Amino acid sequence: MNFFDFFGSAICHQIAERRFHAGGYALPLCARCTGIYLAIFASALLLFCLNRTHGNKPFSVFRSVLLCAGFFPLVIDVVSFTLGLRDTTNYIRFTTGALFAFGLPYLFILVRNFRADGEYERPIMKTPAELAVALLFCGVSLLLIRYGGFFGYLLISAFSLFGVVLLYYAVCNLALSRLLKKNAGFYSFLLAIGIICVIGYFRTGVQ
Amino acid sequence: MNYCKKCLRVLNEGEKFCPACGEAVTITIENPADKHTEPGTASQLDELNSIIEENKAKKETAEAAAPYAQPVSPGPYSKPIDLSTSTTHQSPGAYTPSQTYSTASIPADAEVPMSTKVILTILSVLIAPAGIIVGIINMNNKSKAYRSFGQVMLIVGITQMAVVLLCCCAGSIFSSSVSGIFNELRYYY
Repeated sequence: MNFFDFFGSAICHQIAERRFHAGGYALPLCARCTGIYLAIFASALLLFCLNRTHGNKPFSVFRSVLLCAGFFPLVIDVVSFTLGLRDTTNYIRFTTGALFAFGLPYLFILVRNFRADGEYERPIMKTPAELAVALLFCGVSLLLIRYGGFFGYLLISAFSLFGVVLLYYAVCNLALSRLLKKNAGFYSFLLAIGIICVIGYFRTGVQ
Repeated sequence: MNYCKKCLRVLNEGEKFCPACGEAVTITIENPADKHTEPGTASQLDELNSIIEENKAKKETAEAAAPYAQPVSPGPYSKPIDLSTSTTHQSPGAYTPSQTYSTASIPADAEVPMSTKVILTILSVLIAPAGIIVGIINMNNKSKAYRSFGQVMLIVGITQMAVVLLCCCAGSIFSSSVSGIFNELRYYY
């Protein structure tokens, strides 16, 4: 088991037939998880590049619905497949996963920066068209998986695992910031890496 | 002072009919400021005009006696009404585009009712996207209590989404280690 697979085991079942292959190597995450964490990475990267990570203005109803609408394709896909109503493919899993997760960084940033007794005028999303950029990134990533060879494998593995770290970091940061009543960015990062390593070690040890 | 409406003869007090023409007496000017009497003849108008002039003179005398009195602000209907031009009436509480949808009716110091908290929390737990949307709507509220509660709902919704993601990991761990209800879970997710 290589480094990528070790990190990927912290979040994904890594079933062989559910994974994409690029350049003769299986990606560290299954198709759905690859879509989920690539979308998280893409949205987080976009927010970082646009300097919106300190935004705290709540979204309008339309934008909230837009962010949450992506949850339903994944639910429909999972439920219909579980009930045996239809079969699904890795590309559908990837797409529904990406739709599921592209709004999560926006929600995490809002809930992290929002203060009920303070001012909240810094926008996180200025236009809904920004969301299309994250989805476009996922589409390009899919092409990279398909035609990128070993380079595609390295790039997509790194991006998706960075998304895994980001999700763990966001959850830990949310919890620690509430508990410690201050911004605990560094400790959150350490805790996230620690959890990933412990779960990875546990899973590789079990297997 | 009574007048005959037909021949304009001055009538004596108590006369109900004009002695000259026999017309029934209907015009009575009892109060000079009363404008609800029928518009009459030239003599009546002269008398009314004299009364108006008299009142105007009294008013000017009063203003001269108190030159620094506070001016009375013109009322909303002091301007002449021009029916030929269309005007739009806007009340003080009318909707303006800058107002948000949720802050119009709830005051800033409003508290969230307990029943609302229970219902929305259950909604947030059962249906995470609905909880997230309602939470964000509450975060736009003017009331601090509603904003705080909206943030809690958003945290609950996001936590639930994270749990969904981590269930994949949990399912894989359990399916690797123990058999049971988690054994086949990873094949569905």
